[in-house]
Amino acid sequence: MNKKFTKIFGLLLVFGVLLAACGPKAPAATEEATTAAPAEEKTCKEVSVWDTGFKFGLGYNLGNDTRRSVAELLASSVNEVNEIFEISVTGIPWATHLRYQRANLYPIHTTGWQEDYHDPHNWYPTYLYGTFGSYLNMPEEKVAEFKALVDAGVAESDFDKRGVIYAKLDQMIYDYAPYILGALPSGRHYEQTSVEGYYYNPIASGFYFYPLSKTAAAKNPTTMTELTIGEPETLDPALAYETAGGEIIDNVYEGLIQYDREKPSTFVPALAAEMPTISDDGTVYTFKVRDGVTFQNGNDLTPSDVAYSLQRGLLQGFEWVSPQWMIWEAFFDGVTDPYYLVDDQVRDTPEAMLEADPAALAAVCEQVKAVIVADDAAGTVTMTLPRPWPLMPILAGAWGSVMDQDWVIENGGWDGSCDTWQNFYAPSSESHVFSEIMNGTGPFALESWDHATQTITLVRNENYWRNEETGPAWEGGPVGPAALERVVVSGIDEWGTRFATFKAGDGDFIGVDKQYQTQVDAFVGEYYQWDAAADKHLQSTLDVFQEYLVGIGSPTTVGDGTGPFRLFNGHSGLSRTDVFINELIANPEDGGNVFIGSGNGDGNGIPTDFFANEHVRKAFNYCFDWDTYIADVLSGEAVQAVSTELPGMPGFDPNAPHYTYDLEKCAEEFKLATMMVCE
Amino acid sequence: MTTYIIRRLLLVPLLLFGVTILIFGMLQFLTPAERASLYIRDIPKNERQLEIIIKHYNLNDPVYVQYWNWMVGKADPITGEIHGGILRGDFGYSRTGSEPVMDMIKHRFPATLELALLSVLPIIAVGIWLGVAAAVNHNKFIDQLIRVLSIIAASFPVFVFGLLLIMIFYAKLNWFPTGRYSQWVLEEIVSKQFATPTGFMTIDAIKAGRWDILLDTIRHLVLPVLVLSYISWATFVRVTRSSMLEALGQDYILTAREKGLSENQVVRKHALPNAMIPVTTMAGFTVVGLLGGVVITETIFNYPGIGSAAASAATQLDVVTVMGFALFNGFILIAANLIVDVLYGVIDPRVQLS
Repeated sequence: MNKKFTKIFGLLLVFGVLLAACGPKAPAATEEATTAAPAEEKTCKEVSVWDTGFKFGLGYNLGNDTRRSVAELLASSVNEVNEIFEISVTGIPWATHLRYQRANLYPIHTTGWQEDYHDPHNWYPTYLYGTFGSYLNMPEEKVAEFKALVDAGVAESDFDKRGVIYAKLDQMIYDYAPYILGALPSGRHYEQTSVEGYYYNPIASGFYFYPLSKTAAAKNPTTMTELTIGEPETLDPALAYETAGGEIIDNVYEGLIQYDREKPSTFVPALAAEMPTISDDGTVYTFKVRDGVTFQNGNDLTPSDVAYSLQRGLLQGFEWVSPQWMIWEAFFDGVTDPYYLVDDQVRDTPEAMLEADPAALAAVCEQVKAVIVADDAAGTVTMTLPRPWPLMPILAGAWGSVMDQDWVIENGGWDGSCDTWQNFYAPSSESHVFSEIMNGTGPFALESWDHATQTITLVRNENYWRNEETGPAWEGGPVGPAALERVVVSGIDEWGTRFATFKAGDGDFIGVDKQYQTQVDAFVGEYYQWDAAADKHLQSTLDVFQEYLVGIGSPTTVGDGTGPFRLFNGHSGLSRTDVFINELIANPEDGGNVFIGSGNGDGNGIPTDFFANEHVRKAFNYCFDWDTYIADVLSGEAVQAVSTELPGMPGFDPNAPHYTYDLEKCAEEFKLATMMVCE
Repeated sequence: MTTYIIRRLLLVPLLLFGVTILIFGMLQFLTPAERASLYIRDIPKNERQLEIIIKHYNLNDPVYVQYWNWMVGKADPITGEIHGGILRGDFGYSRTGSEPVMDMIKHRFPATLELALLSVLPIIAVGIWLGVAAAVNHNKFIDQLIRVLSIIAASFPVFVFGLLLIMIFYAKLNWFPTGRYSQWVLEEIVSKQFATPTGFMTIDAIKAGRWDILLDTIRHLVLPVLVLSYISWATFVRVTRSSMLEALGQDYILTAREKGLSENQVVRKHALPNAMIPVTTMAGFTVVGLLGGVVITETIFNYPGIGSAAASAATQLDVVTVMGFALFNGFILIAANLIVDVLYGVIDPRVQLS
């Protein structure tokens, strides 16, 4: 053999060894949370936290500056209160972070939630006993107490009566202090001054282009171009679970109902002829489906299409990866995916689902069909819930969109039969035909999606059903085909390029990350400020804007009013980062938990139940410096959150009891706190 | 020569196999959870979300199983169709590109090729011209000026230069937009009013006699070509200058001058051809580099080529796409090097290819 060949084989061998060395790591055997069981009898005594002191560690996933800052703020305040209180802050690589989180090793978790539907019920269960509730490890009795109130809240449909329940819940959360509420960031929207008709809808995934237009003098007066980042994952309304896809879907597909313009808690009929009738016990919804609506391919809309679309979504499932879990929750109390109903509960992959018992599979499908029933003759769709649930905000989401059954079947989708649904379970958005094609009833149709240039083009639906006779969706709203001929959503990932395109007038809307806002602010010529009392943006002056910028410490000087951009500022966001306190930290015997030091109340660590003491949790709440957090992490553009739910929701009170940064009270609480030291 | 080419060709599959193992091996440093995070764009709702994705895409399979699936594909449980398998020409599906990697390459490579080919001419012509001018006027004002300029160019970051050009010529003057073509051209392409059989906008526009589209394409190409040229000029100038100086110091130049040839003839006929050998090698490498996609330039100019796509895939940990592009680049590199080596033998008779 030639020398060169020998060399290459040698190299390949090295590669092979490397490959083997970095191959699959043996799964960590001790991922399950186990609390230390004392091997022998220990004598324990109660000691004062204030006199003994403590040391523990806070981990955050490396690269997440919000979480790092939260941890560092807590560490420095606590240390300021008493120098024998020491908290070390450590960045943990993402994968390890997840493992620690699952193993319940963190004394305190910092994490964020972005709401799926605008209702308190998307927040309270998550925080108290759902995803984040599992970080808290509250005693079971306490969880039951909270859950009883949450259940009472969701069962009530009257806004004010619900409000009373949630106010009570907020008080209970304040008293118990299971977590530290962070701050609610506010948002901005920049556009060219040639855009007309923009309003802020807090709930929509993105822009709703139907009511928008441009002045005749604008560059490309009938095409609206949005400059954004990236492109959607899928355009299948049953699968899309991110805002980029949601925006396109909201403009092409429609559901039975939609949000009333900018009001997040009221709804108006869309494909429903009128608002549904709801049974007295709040569990049976009957929708009358609008007559004379056609899909963009010319097919008529029928009640069967409505029922089919929701059934298809439910059976397509794909828990947590698709939005279907929330529709499951509404119709099947406590169940979030079809696989839970198919025999042995391990069928959570498409392959496993195919091997399930056909009878069991058919039974699940029948169950789904029984709760959403179409009556084409009567023109209605009836939905039956096991208990009252905020179904309306869920149906108003992109996942409530109605597809044309015949069209879906023609394109190879589910045929509606209970014998075949498993073939369509949990589809990957890739090589999924409905990721790329659309046929809705909405004001715009998908013209093209060019992946290379990340450009999606929508074209006006000339046969849009809304007319003088049906009336506008809201007072003063548009009827007939949209004013805009085309909508272009263009992904330009590089900020400088995106901004240049915007400045050149080739874009009407632009996505601006926080760190680049100062660049755009200098070109703002018209300023609108959010007015909480009016619940909308009101036109303001550049002087007010300048004052605002000084207030948040921005170096930008606003121009003389000739700037080409308009800014809508100050509306509150829909996601928040909060801090969860772990009442029962895991301390596996093998090597223990590095975050809790000695694992004992001896001054060199903390016992695993350190945070089970109410005073400790309250002390940490008083020791959180919101002002610094907002100024440093959120560029000054946020307000302290005073309750778990968002402003505008039933029971929200801006003056609800809440903690404030108060080192004296923090110290007082620490002085009341005790912990166990064992020897 | 023929034996040499055949032997080099025989090595290609082996090299590619090595490339696959290297690429695949390196990407195993990412944990399944990290690779799964690509599938979750917004805030994760639930830790099960990651687990479900890991299970769904078999990210937890033993590494050799994953490698095997990547090489030969995996059968779909419902249809029995085989998906994936680079040996079958299926590089998998790109999450970041929202289309199969092979389609991505097909759609984007012509764009990169067009940009590369259009840049090569100004790069080589102007680079050599300046380099020769500097050498001939050794230590005179022109030489100093060119040297200073090339040092400034070499040390001026390309993304700053590119963004500067965009801010002046696009945002301010609106002469040269970014991207590959304007929205109206895109609409004509997707509605099939304007066909792009070759994938080269310039050639297709000329063939169809669409001067408006040609003009639009050129407007989009000016800045990236300028930036690409500017990056390469500095190096070209310096290499040409030093090898020219070396050639001008040789005895045969003295002989030529003694013979009474004009300075022009001396430079053109005697010094330049000899100075060109290292420059040719570098030109080869430059072209190869350009074909692999120019990450920064394409990203800044929002130019839909190979480089910008690979960069965005890499930052989002899109393993499948990164592997596909790396393999494609490896292939291009091996093929282009082979061609350069062969050409080298043609240009310089002293080089023996055996």
